Amino acid sequence: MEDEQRPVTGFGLAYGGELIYCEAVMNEDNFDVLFDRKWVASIAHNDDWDWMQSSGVILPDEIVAEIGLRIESNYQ
Amino acid sequence: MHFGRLPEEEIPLIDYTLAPDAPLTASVLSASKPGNLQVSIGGTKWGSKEWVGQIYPFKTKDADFLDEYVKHFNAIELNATFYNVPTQETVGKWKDKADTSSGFKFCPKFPQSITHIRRLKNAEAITTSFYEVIGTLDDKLGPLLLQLSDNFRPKSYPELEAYLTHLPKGIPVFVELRHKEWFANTDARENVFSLLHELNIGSVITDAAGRRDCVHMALTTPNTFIRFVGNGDNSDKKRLDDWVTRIEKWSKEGLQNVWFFIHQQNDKQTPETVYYLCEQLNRKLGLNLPYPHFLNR
Repeated sequence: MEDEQRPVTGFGLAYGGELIYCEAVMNEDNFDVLFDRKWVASIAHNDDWDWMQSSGVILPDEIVAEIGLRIESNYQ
Repeated sequence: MHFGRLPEEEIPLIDYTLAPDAPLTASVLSASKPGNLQVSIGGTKWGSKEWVGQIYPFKTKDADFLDEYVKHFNAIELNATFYNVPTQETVGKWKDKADTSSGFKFCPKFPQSITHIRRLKNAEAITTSFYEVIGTLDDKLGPLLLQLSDNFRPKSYPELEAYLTHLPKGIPVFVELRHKEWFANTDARENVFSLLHELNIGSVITDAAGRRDCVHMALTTPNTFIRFVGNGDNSDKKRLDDWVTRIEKWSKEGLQNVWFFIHQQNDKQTPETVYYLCEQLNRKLGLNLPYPHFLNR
């Protein structure tokens, strides 16, 4: 069943003054963002090559951009 | 985990020597007529703010990045289509901007919903939609990149075969294999490269520090699609020199098209890397590739 699991990009991220474990879980056309295994937001890539938050707890733009860069690095 | 990347301290320990050609490469190239090599080189995005003041004029707006990109590079690995299928209107705007550069080509990546979520099954409708949208690029459309998920193993070969067999003909496709079993298992490797060869589909070569098995040197068509993941240090030039030597050899043997895309962790280094590669190819192969031009030179 492992093969059927949705692809995940995981990495350490400095957020709110502490280091948390961030995971970006791939969906059809966006990514769920989990902090320490808890869902906090969804982000998506738009036609302007920017990562935008589509739902969840409002994250700072630079955090969304950092998560996006990590995703891009994985699927480069 | 980030595909093919290594911790900084491990990078100098890697042997970057390119593997010898796979036996299939010689037979594929020998069936092709040498001469008239076409080379397309670029990066993976046109929206890099680091290039403003480096190769893009100061104060260039984000919306004008593509207009500038096509002045410096003759191709782009279009990763944006991996995350979403864009609208036809958006793709039409991209084409209009690229029309100012006669030989420019976009190389769109298959959407993640096809390759990573559906894993090539039940993907007919979205594949049709993807082909319709990218068809808008018309003469600006280069080959397509189909990247398989890291966990897409040889046991899924039947799904791969079924999907590739039913792809529309006429638009070249290159497949990137990522799971280690495709390379470690001799039968799996021979089967998949034979399949690609029979279907006239190309095999992507990914040159990254942490995945030397992906530098398989098996050409399944007389064309190559190289994804070069740079380290951003002095090792890049030596690695590129080796690629130029190999491309020169392949060119003499019948290679027709080279698609070479630079991936740097620091985007600022991409224009320099492309410049160096163009310089070496022009010098050694007598080509006339356009260079990125820097504002301060």
